[in-house]
Amino acid sequence: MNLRIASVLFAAFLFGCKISSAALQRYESDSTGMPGFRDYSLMYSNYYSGIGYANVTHRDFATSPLFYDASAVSVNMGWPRVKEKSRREIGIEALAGISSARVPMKTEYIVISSSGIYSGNVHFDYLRKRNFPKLKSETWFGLSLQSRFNFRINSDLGNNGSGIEALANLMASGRIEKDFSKKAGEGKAFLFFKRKKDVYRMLCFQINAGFLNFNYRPGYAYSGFSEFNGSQTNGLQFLLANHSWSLNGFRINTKLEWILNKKNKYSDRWVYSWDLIHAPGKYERFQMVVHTFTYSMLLFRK
Amino acid sequence: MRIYLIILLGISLFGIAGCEKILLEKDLASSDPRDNFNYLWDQVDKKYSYFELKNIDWNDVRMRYSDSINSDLTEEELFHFLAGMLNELRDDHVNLFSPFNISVYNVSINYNKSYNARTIDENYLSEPRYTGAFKHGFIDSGRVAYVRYSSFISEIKEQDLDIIISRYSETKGLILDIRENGGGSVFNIPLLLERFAPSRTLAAYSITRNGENHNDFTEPAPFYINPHDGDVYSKPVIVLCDRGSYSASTFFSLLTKAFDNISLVGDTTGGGGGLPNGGQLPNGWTYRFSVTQILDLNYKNFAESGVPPDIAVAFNWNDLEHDEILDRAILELNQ
Repeated sequence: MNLRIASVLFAAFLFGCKISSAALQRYESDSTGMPGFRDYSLMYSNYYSGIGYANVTHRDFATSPLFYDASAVSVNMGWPRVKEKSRREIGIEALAGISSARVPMKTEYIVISSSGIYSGNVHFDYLRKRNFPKLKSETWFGLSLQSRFNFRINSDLGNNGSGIEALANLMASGRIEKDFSKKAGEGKAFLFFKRKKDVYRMLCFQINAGFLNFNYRPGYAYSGFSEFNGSQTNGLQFLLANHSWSLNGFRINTKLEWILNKKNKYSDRWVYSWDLIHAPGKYERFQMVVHTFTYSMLLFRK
Repeated sequence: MRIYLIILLGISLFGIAGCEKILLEKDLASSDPRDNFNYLWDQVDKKYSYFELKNIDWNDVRMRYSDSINSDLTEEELFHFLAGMLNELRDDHVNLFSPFNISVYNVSINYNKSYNARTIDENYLSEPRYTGAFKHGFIDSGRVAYVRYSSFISEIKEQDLDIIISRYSETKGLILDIRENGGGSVFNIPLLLERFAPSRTLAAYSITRNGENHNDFTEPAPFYINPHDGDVYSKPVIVLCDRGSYSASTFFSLLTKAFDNISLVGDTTGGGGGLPNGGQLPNGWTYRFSVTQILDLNYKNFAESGVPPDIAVAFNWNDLEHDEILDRAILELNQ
């Protein structure tokens, strides 16, 4: 099961790379000079695709008071579109990993409890530029619509072994971008060497805080019998029959991006993101923290 | 540039780490026996489904057991106390799982067994066939079909049932033996029962705990059996059951009560009509207990104490050449 999902995620990454490569060829044929990073961002649609490592901590009080810590593989892709006054981005991220329960250390018998976790996140950001001249940076404010879907498997929990939750959040969003581009001969490369080429670099920090937080969580007894229509009963519908939507909890996430543009052919994009979720639901709360470190290629497309 | 980097990295990493500590509640992992006792008692109190039916005073159980719980208990002693507390529920769908032991109430040990595979193999089934999860053959000089389904855990494939139904279509009746079948997947129940259903039939209801009061339950959810869209067996069917027919087998036996063409022969089933849900203690051990009830068409629950047979027959262990329960089923089909 894990192998199958990992294969799908890897295939999605390869597919993304293939699109990136095609986009790169178009970019090179269009290239006539050496405009700056920001110019390219404005002129073209941006596309990124990447892979990384995620550290996930989750706790579902409906089945356990224990935190589970997971190491996971993460893949992502996104389509930012930057204009003079506005910025929008659609992105998706998927991760798959194995988590272990944070059991007490002082025990006579070792308890090993593990869970598989698969999670997908979709976001759509729409931000408007707001200039603060003193900051000497570009600042953006707007909204982010995000949705995360989790599927967890823990065979130790029997009939409660499948954990499913969905989260949908409308978030206030703020972003700051600082351009650290340098011309050849300007400054020192790696502190010592004279810079021989132009280098385009940008540091971005974005924070999103949810103000409408929906979560889709299990019923009072976690799972129970719902109407059973013979062998036509769909297993997934049966599993979700006692789930319901609630409007409560909070979600906050941040993203720190370091974008390095080499010879304008493509950009390296290093991202550290953090996502914290608290979803009380109607009966039992769910908590999750995701730290993700990803590398992605950022390309410009017509 | 460095100042920017330092500030943003500082916000991202140290600020975030601090936020997590503040926003998430503290780690509740604990090996303290009292924490684990209180957590388990509370979970059962909030969600177990048979307090009223079994007339269990759960507060009294707490009083009796809490005096013995202290932080000096070894893990084996803690297991002993927690298992004892859970066994007060008299339910085989209630278990405690630790790295060194699993607690079991063991309903069936209080009753005689009513099934001996060797008796059937040596005296009834001369040339048994094995098709998927089923062992089957002609008995009573080819007039009756005998089908053994030993566990509802075993996957039921439609093609396997097609073969069996087709092979015995000319028999006078079919005997389905689910004695000592300890249960399994509820999704196998309609797959099997729909082969004997003449029409869409409302066969039972289920209710699920949905509140902190012991009698808080959801509205009854109907359980329907639809006739199979293909090969079906339209002759009389007799289901053999006993105290070892537990969980899904008890559920199956209860559903047969809604069908005129199906009779139950043998002993009362073992019970276990509630869906057992799992959870984990602060020390990492896991547990499960019933959170639902199965009701018959009159909204009565006798599934937990066992579904009574239509014809009660005891197995005589002094005569292992005869299966009295099977003999009675054959007799019924020949009448």
